[in-house]
Amino acid sequence: MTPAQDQEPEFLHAFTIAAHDFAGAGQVSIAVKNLLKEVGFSAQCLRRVAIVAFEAEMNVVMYGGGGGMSVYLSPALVRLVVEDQGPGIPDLDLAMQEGWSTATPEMREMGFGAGMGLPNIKRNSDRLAIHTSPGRGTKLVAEIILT
Amino acid sequence: MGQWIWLGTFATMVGGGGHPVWIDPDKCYGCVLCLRACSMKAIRIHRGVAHILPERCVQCGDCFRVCPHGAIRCHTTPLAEVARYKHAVAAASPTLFSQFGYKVTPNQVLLALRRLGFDQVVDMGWLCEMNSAAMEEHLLRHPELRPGISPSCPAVVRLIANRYPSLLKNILPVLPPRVFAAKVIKERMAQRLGWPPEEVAVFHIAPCAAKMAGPQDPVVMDQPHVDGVISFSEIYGPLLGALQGLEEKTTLQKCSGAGIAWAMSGGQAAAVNVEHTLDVAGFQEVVNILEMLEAGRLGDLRFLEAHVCPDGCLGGPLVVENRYRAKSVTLRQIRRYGVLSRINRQRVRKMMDERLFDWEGGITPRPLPPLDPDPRQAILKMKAIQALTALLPGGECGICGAPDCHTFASDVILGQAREQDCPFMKNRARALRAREEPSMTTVREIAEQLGLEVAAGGAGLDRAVAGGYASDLLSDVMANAKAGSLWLTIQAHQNVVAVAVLKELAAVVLVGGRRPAEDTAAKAEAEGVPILVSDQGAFELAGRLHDLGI
Repeated sequence: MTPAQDQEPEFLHAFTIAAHDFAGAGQVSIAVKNLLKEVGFSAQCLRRVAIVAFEAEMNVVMYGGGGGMSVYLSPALVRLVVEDQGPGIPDLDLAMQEGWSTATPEMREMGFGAGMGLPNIKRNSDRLAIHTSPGRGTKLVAEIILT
Repeated sequence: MGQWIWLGTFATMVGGGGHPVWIDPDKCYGCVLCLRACSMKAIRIHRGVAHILPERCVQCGDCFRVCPHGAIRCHTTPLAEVARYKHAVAAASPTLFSQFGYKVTPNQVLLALRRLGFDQVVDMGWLCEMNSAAMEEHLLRHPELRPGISPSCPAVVRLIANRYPSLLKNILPVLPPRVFAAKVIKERMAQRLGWPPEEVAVFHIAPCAAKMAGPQDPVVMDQPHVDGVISFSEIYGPLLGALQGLEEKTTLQKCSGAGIAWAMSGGQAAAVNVEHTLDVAGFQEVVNILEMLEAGRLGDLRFLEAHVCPDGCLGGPLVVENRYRAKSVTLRQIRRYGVLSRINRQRVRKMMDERLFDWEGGITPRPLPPLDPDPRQAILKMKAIQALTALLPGGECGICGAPDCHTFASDVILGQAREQDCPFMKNRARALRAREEPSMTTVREIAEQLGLEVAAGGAGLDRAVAGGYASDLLSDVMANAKAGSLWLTIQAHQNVVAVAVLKELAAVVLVGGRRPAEDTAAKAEAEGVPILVSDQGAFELAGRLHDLGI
């Protein structure tokens, strides 16, 4: 009997994230949250998923040139896999620093670019893996373990 | 159709089912308008009649607004109810002041109410000002509350209890004005005047479906002390009559523009003096803001005023006046009476310390149940819902009786609807079955349908036919004909049988009246290869075979 946390989560749905679509910003993370809400996950879990999904989605919109978010579920785990074919993150350590941002002036005017995206994702997930290299896109795998 | 129901002191006439917004099946056409209008997806159409799922309904009244057949009703306490009490008190929403044009003042409205059988009339605008102060005070005492949400719109409270339970803690625990008014009237005014409690009834007057509570209302938020809610549409006619020839000898109005402004969305936000207030009106807009709130994207907000009705209460489903004209009247009244409230803030603080503004019950969360109590099963059900949704056309046509394809898929997986309810799925099933069992044509059937004589090889008549080939060159047939084909040719010699066997052809059809040679017929018998004969040429025969679908 595998412990609940090690149960391989089921694939549920793949969402498309459109590039530079600020008007639709956050729609995917809302859809992800509503899906999990319908299944019946707790409010606490939903809050963390919403933050991770939103920040990851915005990164794909602003920097990744569009991509996708896939949702995997098991009773004890929510896994978000967020991918894009964008320019990649040249220095991941730098990107994980709070306050560091490559947002354009236009983005900052909209309220983005606080440099808290990746740190927020890290803070709200239990396991985080980021695969990226310049010119080869970025893949982020975030897992939220349910207690 | 309706029946009198007693619920403690709350005597109301409620229609079928007990839910305060209800659909009259005799008038309902089963069109999709209310189905689509409902933001909570609380309506289903079954056997051509719409019905409301009470556990999903927040009583916003949007369905009531769009029904073209008058089949949807909002219940109201009938005005006649007032006469049953010796001490009936009117506590009308200040929105009422906006309903009678520029010339009628709030004071006149209050005086006219008194002529309708109410023993006392309370200026709720004044109480709304006190409420603004109490909410502001609560926010000042609780700086960690970011934001506090006004509880004035019961539909919003139900929406939060149903879909955003994580935000329940943000609802300001300050009694909404109508409940506060009723409480003060019963606990203070009635006692002061020496009224026996059983003779006292407080009637709120509002343009609001959400404030109507029915006996089967899953109680999300108590509305204690309020004995009835009379809609604007119910009271308007009599009130117009009462305004005629009114003598203005008394001043009942105490409120300023600060209270009058509660009629509009933004009126509360303007009166609650904290940094960063936000007002939002309209169901979908409220949902958008609550989503942002739940996602933590409105962190600096201190006070949220939300109304499901467009432009606030003056946009309610039971208003009489056009909402923009009502807004114009409200603005004029605000300018006339000024925005400075004359309430005594010290007194409000004292009342708060005396717990007069405190909620007596709490708010009961009423979330929709998870797909399954077992999380494993819930996930599998969600997968099944996703899979079914992917098969559906996504047209959101409503023919199945559900508002959209995803909801229909959920209903099916949860056993509340059948897949065949969707006309697309019904046809799809039929098409799938046809694809899996293609009809098989045999040589015998072709011979029968085209009237071809069987000259030899009758044993092979049940062979399946899968195409045709017309050629008189054997090497061409050897190179190009496909197995199972009908071979149309003028060649009658015995080698055609050999070719037919080698290429596993279904049958040989001799065209243009040719007959098989004797040895050909014998070989065909031996090999069981049918030889059919036709008087027609290859061209015509091929055409007829094509028409049969070969």
